[in-house]
Amino acid sequence: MIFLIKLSLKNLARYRKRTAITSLSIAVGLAFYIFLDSMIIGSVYDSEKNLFMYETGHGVIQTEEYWKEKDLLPLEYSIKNSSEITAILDKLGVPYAERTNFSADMIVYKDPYPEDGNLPVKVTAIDYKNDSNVFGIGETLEKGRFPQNEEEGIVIGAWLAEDIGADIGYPVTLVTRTKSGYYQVIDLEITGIINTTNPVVNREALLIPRGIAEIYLEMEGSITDINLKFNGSRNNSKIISLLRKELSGTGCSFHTWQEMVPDFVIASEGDMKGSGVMLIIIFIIVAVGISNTMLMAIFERVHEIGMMRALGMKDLSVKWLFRIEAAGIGLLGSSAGVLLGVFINIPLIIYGIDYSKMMREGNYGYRMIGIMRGMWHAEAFITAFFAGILLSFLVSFIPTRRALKKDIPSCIRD
Amino acid sequence: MKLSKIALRNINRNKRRSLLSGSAIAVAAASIIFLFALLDGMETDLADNIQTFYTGTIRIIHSDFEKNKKINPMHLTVKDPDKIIEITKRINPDIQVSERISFPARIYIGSRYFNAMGMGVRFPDEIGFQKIEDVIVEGRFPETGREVLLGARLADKMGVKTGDKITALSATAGRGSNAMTFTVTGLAVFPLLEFTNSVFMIPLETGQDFLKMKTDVKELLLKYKASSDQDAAALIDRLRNETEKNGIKNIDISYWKDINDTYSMIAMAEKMYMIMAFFFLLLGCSVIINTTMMVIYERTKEIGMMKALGMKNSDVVKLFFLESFYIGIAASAAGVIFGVIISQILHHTGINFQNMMEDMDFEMSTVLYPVVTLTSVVTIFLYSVIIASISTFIPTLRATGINTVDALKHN
Repeated sequence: MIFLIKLSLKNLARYRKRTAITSLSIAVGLAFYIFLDSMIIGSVYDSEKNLFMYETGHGVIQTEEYWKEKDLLPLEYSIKNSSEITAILDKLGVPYAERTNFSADMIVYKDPYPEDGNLPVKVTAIDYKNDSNVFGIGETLEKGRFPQNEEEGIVIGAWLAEDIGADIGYPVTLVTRTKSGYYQVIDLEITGIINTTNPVVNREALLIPRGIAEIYLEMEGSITDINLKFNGSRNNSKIISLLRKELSGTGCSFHTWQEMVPDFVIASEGDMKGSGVMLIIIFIIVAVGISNTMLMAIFERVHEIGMMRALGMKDLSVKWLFRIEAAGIGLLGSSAGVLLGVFINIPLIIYGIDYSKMMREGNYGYRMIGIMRGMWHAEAFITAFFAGILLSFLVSFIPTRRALKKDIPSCIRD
Repeated sequence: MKLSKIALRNINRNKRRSLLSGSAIAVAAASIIFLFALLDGMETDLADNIQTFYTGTIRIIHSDFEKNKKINPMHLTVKDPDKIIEITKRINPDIQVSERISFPARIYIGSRYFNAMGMGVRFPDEIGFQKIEDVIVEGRFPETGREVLLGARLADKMGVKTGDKITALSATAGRGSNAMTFTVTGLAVFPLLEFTNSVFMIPLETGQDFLKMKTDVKELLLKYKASSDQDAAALIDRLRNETEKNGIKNIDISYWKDINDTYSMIAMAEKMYMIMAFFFLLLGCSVIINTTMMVIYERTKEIGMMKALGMKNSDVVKLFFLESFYIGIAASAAGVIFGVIISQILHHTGINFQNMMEDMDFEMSTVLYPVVTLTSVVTIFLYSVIIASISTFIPTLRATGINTVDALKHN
């Protein structure tokens, strides 16, 4: 085997140009894959960070009935025994934030607003101190202040404020229904504007004190969500299984952050699949290049093959000689590809691609506000490196078989 | 003997080598054709959906609506739409017009309410404008009065079927609230997931009555095949002049590409496409160059032989260029044809992206149909031929630079 490896390496060195050219096409393909992967992984990483910090935490506890109809935000299914649940969380040492989400119609009037209008909104009632156990909203105040617990004040997202022409001190009217289903009107004053790195929060956030929700929505001490933050890993399976066990029989259940934001999970998984398809197309193109090179190498060396076989080299050894040679090209191509990948990844990480206009306008699943930045992803580099070698090695199987079809005399005569 | 004849003979003589180098070019060309067809399909689809469902080719709205659109100012309406339609038809009778009132609403089912987007339209006009008959999957479209067509997934969410009644609540143009009950006459699956998820459509007059708008509409969408952006701009200028002359005030007439959030999205998407296309062209390029250059390096000995027999350097370069040029033409043609066939098959069957687009504000259809354009066919054909031909120069020039004896000795 060592002889075969040595001979293959000698051949690679002998046909330096051919080796270099073929390696180059492998390198370009792999670098493209690394680029694409870096962009997706970078976006996913930023989005996850922004989801945990401002939207979901690492998961949520809701009543089972509420979870089934969560899109409709049904207050009547809120958690009535929240102290029982929080005692479990205290016992397990899991930080939590209690929140109540409800839907409302937000009404604004001309003067001070530029126009009369209304829009359907989702409002979140929070206890500002308790909320910081899980979320980072507290550090994102751009203007004004957070209201006191029973103050009729509201904090809104910066983009929402810009969209409706709102500012500190402006009045807001919310028309909603109480937990018992009666209509209720809440008049509030904007006391603060938050600017986070999460586009959904910037575009939609309306935060009121929990004390106000308690009074106006007649919550009777109940809340709709208990968001959690796990120490260490975001998917702390040990704590999750303990928690699920403790929650059984309470009427409440735990749901992971992935279950809370299916739009993001779908978008990121779709893109991962997309990059997988890209990788296949890249490999097809590259495979044609490699197989051409190998075929050419073999056809040009029929005479040489004949000679080696005549001198007693076994067919299997001849096959392995070419396979090792192909793997050698793969190794060179993969190394160059990984290196090229590093080079094109640097500007992607430092400068990124500016998608701020698109992210400002609509929800595309990802939670980042502008620059889509790449990321170092060791797995992609390793995958690319070994895939390049493996592909090259596998592609060489067909041409090597063809090399041995001819009998020895006709090989030598060729 | 003519060089072209020798080139053809060389190609023929070593069929296997010619096939190998051709196959690389063909695969690269076919892949790029398919990718471009997919990207063109996306762009066409986006442009078509934006014009059909959101803006028309030209949109007429109240001049203050756009800057306040997020708060749904229902009182900012377009007055006297009949007059504007008359002016439009006088300028160009072929323009399709859609009068619309879109409004946010809540639909009540028992103790639950669902956020939805209401849309008042003239159904007979929408047959031509958005091919409404094609999207109805059950029942029929509303004819008069309090009838409603529901997005199929909205109906499913609410547990409503054809024949059931629903009650919608919305803010009126007079800033009050109004509720109205409708009978569901049909369900629709629109190309846009957002519509299937949240839209309910009612007859325009019913919408005007519901929202207390008298004969006003929220917007007039004009659709026509603009031969160019300049052509559309000229039409918009005429419309502006004519409406002003007729005393119609407070309206904004805009071309779809100039409406803020729509075309900027296409431009953003294009940025992404360009990066991908660039990489694929580069990859295709590297494979083509790789194969072509290799074929020539392998033939250094042959070059030496030709030079020894008295062939001039320039003729050797020309000969190899011609060989590659002919192979390039044949292989590019084969690759382009193969790419077109694959794209055309998918153009008819479509590629379903529904799962990837759940809950996204993306004006792209759930099923995408790749579109092969003449421009991309010609560009990619020429690109492949040119790359294949040009890439012969470097190795041939180098090979001809080596002295004849060394070239003959080359292994």
